[in-house]
Amino acid sequence: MVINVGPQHPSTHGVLRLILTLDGEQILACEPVIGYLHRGLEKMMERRPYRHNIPFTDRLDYLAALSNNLAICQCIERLGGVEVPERAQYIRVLLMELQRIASHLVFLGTFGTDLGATTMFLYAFREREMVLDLLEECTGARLTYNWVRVGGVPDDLPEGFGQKVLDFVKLFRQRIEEYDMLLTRNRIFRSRTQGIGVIPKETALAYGCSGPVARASGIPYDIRKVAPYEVYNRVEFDVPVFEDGDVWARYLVRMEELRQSLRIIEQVLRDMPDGPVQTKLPKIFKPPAGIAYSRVESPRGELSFMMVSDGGANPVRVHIRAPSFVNLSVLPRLLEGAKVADLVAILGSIDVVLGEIDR
Amino acid sequence: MIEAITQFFTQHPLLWAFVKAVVLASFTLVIPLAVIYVERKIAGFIQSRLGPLHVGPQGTFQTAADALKLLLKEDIVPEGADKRFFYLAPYIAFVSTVLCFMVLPFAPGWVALEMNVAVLFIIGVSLFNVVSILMAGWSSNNKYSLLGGLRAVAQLLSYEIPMVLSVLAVVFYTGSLSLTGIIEYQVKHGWNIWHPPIMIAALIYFICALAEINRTPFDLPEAESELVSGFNTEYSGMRFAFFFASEFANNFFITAFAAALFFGGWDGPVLPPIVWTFLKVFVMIFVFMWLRWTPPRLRIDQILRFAWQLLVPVSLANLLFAIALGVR
Amino acid sequence: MNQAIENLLQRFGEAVHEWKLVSPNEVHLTVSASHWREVAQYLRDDPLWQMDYPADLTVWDTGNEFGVYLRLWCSVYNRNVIVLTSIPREEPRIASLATLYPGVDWHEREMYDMYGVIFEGHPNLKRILLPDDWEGFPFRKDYVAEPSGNPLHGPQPVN
Repeated sequence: MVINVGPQHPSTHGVLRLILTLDGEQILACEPVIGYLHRGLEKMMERRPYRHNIPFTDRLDYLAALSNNLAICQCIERLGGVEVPERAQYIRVLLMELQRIASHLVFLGTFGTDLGATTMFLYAFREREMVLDLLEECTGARLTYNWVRVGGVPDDLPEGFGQKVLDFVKLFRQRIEEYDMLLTRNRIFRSRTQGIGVIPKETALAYGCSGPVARASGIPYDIRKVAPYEVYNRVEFDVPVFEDGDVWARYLVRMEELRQSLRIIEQVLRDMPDGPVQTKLPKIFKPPAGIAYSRVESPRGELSFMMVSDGGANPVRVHIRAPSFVNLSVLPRLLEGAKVADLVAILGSIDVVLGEIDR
Repeated sequence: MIEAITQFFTQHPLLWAFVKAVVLASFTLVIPLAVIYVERKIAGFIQSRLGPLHVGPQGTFQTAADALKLLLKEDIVPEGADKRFFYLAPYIAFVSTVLCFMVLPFAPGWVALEMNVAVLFIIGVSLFNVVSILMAGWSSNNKYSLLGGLRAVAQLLSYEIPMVLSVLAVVFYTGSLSLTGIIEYQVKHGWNIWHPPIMIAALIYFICALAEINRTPFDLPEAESELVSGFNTEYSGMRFAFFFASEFANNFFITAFAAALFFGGWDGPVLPPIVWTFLKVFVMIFVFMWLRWTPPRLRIDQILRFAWQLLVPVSLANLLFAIALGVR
Repeated sequence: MNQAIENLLQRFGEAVHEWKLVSPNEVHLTVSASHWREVAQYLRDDPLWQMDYPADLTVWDTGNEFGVYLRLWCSVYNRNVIVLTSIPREEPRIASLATLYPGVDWHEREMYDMYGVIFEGHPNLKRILLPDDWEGFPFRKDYVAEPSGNPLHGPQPVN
């Protein structure tokens, strides 16, 4: 039996379509069909001056828009050799980690719903709302922030922002315990996730999986440690790595990352120096000819921009290496022999965002 | 006046039967409104939100408004559907629930049809529910519905067996197949739940009841995130409302049945018997809802393994235990 | 690292046009398109390199030729290698790496989709983001974006 999952389906998290060949409840083959959200962003970027492209990146991974902003700004900075003031770097790290929490909370909520634990969704979104409120206070937007600039950030943090973040950190530590009680220690939840959708280490490497997917398969690949950017080399945090490679491990990695993000936030707020937040740049920004790439650990994995410049005002080529795009390419292999009910667990645990897959 | 009415209906038994049928059918339609409202409020409480608020005081009329909306909606029949079965399925589901209510005593004498094999009747009639789900799943000409229907049949049939076995334990223990008889036994000897073999039977019954009414963690046939809506994906308007209503009425019935079997039915001090019945039912419904909004859903193979490898053997052993201890 | 680069230069000689050590653990190589697959295979299999992680693959259009960019990472030594090459626009053909690195499978399909680069030996080279019946390769610099060339229509049903 051939069955079409998507493009409209409650648990494909966007407009992903999977053509499944089924034998009863067993999945024999799976063919993902993507591109429903393709807007040709990379081509659009070629027609605009470098800095005009930042708002486009909000529409890539719309659950972690700040990571995208940072990735493109870093790429332009490397291309043009722009220095970023220290305070701006700290602010960037602070916002990135808040963004990571918001994004992982969406994962937690939707993952719970996918497995039938509807209440998790509302719990996770209750806390996500707080993070979004914080980010709104700082950036003025809730989803498409457009807040990182080439050479820094547009403005300093608002008055009393640090204290509000610390209050949130304190509250959120307790809330994570609640999540643990609701999901992590639930036997049904475990039996639905353990041993399901196993990605062996070799497969994860060969397919170029990144982010929590890679770390759940035993690859300690976290750009924040492997190639530290901004001030990640000055803060202390652990990279959770699990060996099992199953849905359960991917869930645990993300839960642990929530805690680590809180640690980073506290250190950043403690160490943040005073100073300017923006480097002066010429009105018309023309980086020298060459190729540059940037790597950012977005909540979904390695987000990389690659830009080619010919010395003009517009880039010749902008390429976006979207983590979801690469992670999703493992899916057909994972689904062979799985049950229909496992499909949602596996797809949910890879945590794809169609905005950055289709670009 | 009352005597005149009584006499009138005694002379016209058919008419009396008709009145009872109408009352029961409307009861089956009205009770879901209450249950759904309670469910929404409880879900809201558990998920730290408010639930319905705006239609009527505290949102009490929200469900009625929803029912009205469903009444007015277009009745869509998918192309290629097996029309006869597609039309029939929701009514079979509904009728099977009404028939169950028919033999259920709410208070002494408050029973539409006093039947000395009421328990057997209920077991038989409630199986029609499975038929209606399979019909709906098959006739919709939708692969998701079909998968939902197949899951439902596999699940409901597997859980029917331990459920019947645990009900039989009560029957053997109390020595009666009539629900009124079982309750009267409990009024005399204390509630069944306090007797060891029945305690286990009650536990098994509770688990099976969750599966029978498709509640989390056994809500596979309509698993929203997997099968969109399972067997009722293609239904709309009033036909969908009938499925929905019969599901919640079933929810009510299965707890009322449990109250009669294990918790002494209408038995209780001070309050009138009918209040006791409803009180017991709503406490159990609350537990069901609590469960619904907490754990995730199981997988089909895990559910079947649980039924066949654990529940069936345990309930069989328990049945022997009950027979050995029960009245002769 | 130096030993590894020396071995690579010895093994491929003229095929490596240019190399640059950007940082202690990052090297940029420009190779000839005819040795594309051999270089990638060498980088993956040689014990001194072990570039086992395909991070990125993309193509760009300079107007005269297509540049190809491959970024690899090594999980053992934490090293990055960027391999660059160029292929003519008239006949954009290059060996596929999809059987070496399954991870570049979708990248190669995307580049075929956008630039029409034929990756020879790719197991399933068809359009990935655009509909199967799309006319032209939109990321080429000379692509004319004319709506009438590709009228809109909904997805086609399966089976």
